[in-house]
Amino acid sequence: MNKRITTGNHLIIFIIILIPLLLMSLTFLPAVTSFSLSPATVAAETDQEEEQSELNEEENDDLWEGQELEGDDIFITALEEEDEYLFEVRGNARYKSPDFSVSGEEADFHSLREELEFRGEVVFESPEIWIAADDLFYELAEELALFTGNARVKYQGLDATAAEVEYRGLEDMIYLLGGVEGTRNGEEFNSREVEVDLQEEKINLKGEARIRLPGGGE
Amino acid sequence: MAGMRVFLPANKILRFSSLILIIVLLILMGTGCQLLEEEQEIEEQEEEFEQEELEEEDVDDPLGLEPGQVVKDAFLTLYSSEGTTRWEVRGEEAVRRDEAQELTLEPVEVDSFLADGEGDFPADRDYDLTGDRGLYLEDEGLLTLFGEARLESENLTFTSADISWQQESDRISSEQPTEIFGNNFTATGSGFEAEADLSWFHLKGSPEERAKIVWEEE
Repeated sequence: MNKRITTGNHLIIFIIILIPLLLMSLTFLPAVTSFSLSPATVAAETDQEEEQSELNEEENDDLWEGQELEGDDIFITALEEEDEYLFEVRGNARYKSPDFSVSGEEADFHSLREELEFRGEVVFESPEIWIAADDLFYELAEELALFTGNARVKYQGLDATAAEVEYRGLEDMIYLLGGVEGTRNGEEFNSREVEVDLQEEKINLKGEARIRLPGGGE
Repeated sequence: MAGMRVFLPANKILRFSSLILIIVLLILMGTGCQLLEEEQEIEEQEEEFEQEELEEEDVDDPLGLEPGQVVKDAFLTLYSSEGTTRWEVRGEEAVRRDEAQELTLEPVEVDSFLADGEGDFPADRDYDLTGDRGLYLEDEGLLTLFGEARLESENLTFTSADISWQQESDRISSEQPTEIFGNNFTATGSGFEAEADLSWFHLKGSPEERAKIVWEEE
């Protein structure tokens, strides 16, 4: 009997101790969490963010270095962010970087968004590829370019037209999209899509591809 | 011979005395002329000094000068038609040209102040300009800085053979080859036109010199 009472007492004592402990842990949990974001930690994180921001700025500076933009007239508008501008080139616009050049009737260059837009008889030229189109929208940091309207690509043995052309510089890929027609190593073809792997130097016809052989067969 | 006395004749004494007297008179005349000349010089110097004092009194209003009148350390305050831009113009020497409403300042320095939304001007200048010579045409409300003209703001520096400010339009411009230096780019053109607050500017191109921007390391 005494043993049972003792066990019951132990249980009550255990519960009496456990409940406040649970309550305390629940109360202090947010404090513990916030303690992990102590001033020192916040300062360290801020430093990291600043370092990252400086790195980004340095990358940004590197991105612009050696680049040129010219034309008949250039209109420059200061953006709200300090030292950032919108450059609007009107007439015989030309952009040159160490890797490629683009020409067109007019161009807009947004330094903050790192975007380049060309309109009218656009021609993109690099040592390995030539692309022409009505318009070009280029995200410079992502090396992502979209050519629209009467797009045409010349690359090694490929000479083809398409509704639009996507150039992904980071992946070394070019995609010709929609009603692709042209020649590949002298063979006429048409397809829905063409993939050009600049790294592997491969050209893949995709989607209802048809090749017309020189003899007349398909 | 000892104890012999020599007597000069009276006429000889008279002749000798007359000669001495003439010499003395000549010396006195010469000295008197010199004194007169010195007195004249002093009077002239005093007149010049008084004139300078008069000129210095007029420095706050060089536009009120008589034609041909010269002013040292001239100071002129000009406002745009809408009162949103204030130019404080200084010239080491200012001259009012003939009857025309022209004022030349040489060399010339300008502090430019831009009003905020409530029309209040800041205590510190927003940018400054310098030139070898300045010409203010009061009738036209046009101030032009010539010779190594330079506009310097926090983020941009404009250099050209001349830089003009039109009070009516509140625009700054040049028809001469221009260089604009940003923190990470240099822009060149055959001229420029800019809003006085430098929020927008047009870099002009010509067949000889296309408008061009080159990005470089900061």
